[in-house]
Amino acid sequence: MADPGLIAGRISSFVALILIAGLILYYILRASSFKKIPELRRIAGIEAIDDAVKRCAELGKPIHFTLGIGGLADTDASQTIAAIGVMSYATRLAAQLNIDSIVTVCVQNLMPAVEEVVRQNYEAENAEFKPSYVRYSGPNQAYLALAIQGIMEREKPGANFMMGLFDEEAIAIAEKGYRTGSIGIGGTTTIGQMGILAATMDYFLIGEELYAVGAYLSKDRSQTMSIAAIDIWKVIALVTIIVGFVLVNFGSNIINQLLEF
Amino acid sequence: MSDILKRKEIPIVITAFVGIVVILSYFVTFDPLQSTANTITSWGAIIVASMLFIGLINLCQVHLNRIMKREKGVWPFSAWLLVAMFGTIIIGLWAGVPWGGTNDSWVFIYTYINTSISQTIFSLFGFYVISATIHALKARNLESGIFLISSFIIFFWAMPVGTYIWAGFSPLGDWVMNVLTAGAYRGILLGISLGLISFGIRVIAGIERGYLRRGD
Repeated sequence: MADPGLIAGRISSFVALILIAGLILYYILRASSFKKIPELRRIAGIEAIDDAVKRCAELGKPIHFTLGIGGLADTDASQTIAAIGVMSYATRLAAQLNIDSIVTVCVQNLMPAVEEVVRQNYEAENAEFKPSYVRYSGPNQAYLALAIQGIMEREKPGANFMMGLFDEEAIAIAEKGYRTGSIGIGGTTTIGQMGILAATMDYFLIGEELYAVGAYLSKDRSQTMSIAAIDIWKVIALVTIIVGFVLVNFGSNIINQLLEF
Repeated sequence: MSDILKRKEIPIVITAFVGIVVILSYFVTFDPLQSTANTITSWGAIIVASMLFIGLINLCQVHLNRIMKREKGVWPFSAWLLVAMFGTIIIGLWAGVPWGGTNDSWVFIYTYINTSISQTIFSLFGFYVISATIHALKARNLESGIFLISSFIIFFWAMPVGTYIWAGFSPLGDWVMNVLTAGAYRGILLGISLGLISFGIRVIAGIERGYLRRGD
């Protein structure tokens, strides 16, 4: 039986996490006491969601949404959860405008959550939920790409949303959407696919913007203040980088040693 | 009873408990904490495996509906999908029972059908890259002009013929990749990491509820 304690080599990360989380929690808990809360900058990708769904309603076409190849039980679960939030917003809007939604799912553990969210959104707007709104493509990125290409070709959705974890299949899905005339809105925190989505989609949520969608759409004070806390840490990180750069050039490795502690 | 189970607090409390235990188990050595985190991870694996049945049911629902409605130009493919899917399942199960067949038939399906089809699909991605490049790489403004120039540098840097055309593509490409791209990536990564922590805390605290039904 190991003695209880912090794991060596992860102590500095733990301390950093506590400090970052502490400031965010402080800002969340004190949100109501701040007289003025900072305004979130305009994010074109989020603003375009409403326009894209309304465009589908005008054209009488369905919206298509894919959550990529990430599930709820892997290291990329966070961006999938954030993407489900966007999916919920888009399908709720589709239900309000009485148009069909198609949500293509590649990872089986997402099926119950996605079905429940879409069903509840349609029921909340007194619109009919059809089982074909949520479609399982099979547990493989090639199957996902193939299934979506078929959907794009046959059903020609007016908007193609791609949010979450993507890999090589991203280019095929995005390009097929472009070729079939759908407006493309993408978002991922996967560094390797950002360039692909930025080049092929009409609007794109870069990295952390995907995590900020919930706060942006809800306009909730607590959520907005949690984003403001992050900006303070960005400045601290920037200062640390500059100090580290200067110290390394003067022969001191103290920042590296602290980070490896 | 059913009303209690529908309360929004239940998934929020479960999410918070699982999140805190798993995060702490990464930093702290404490046997009860580690064993609880391991149990949660095992439950996750079991839930993931059982969810495959929901995927199966969904495929049957969607494609049987198409077959019954005789949807023009689509229903034969739906029928073929169900035949292939259940055929593979039956062969796989038959190979698994003691009095059944061997694994050879299943391995044959996987190696010579599934892998070949997957590789065919992946090979198509190359054409999509070319097609996307054509409409993405247009110098409409300063940003897209920089994008276009750096793309061409990397294009010739990655191709063996590039350095044959001009030896300078190699050091220039290395500089773009190791300095410009790496710097931008690290900046984005820093933002993502901080955004992720903020998002995680909002989920654990129960104020970010977009993933729940109706976002309530």
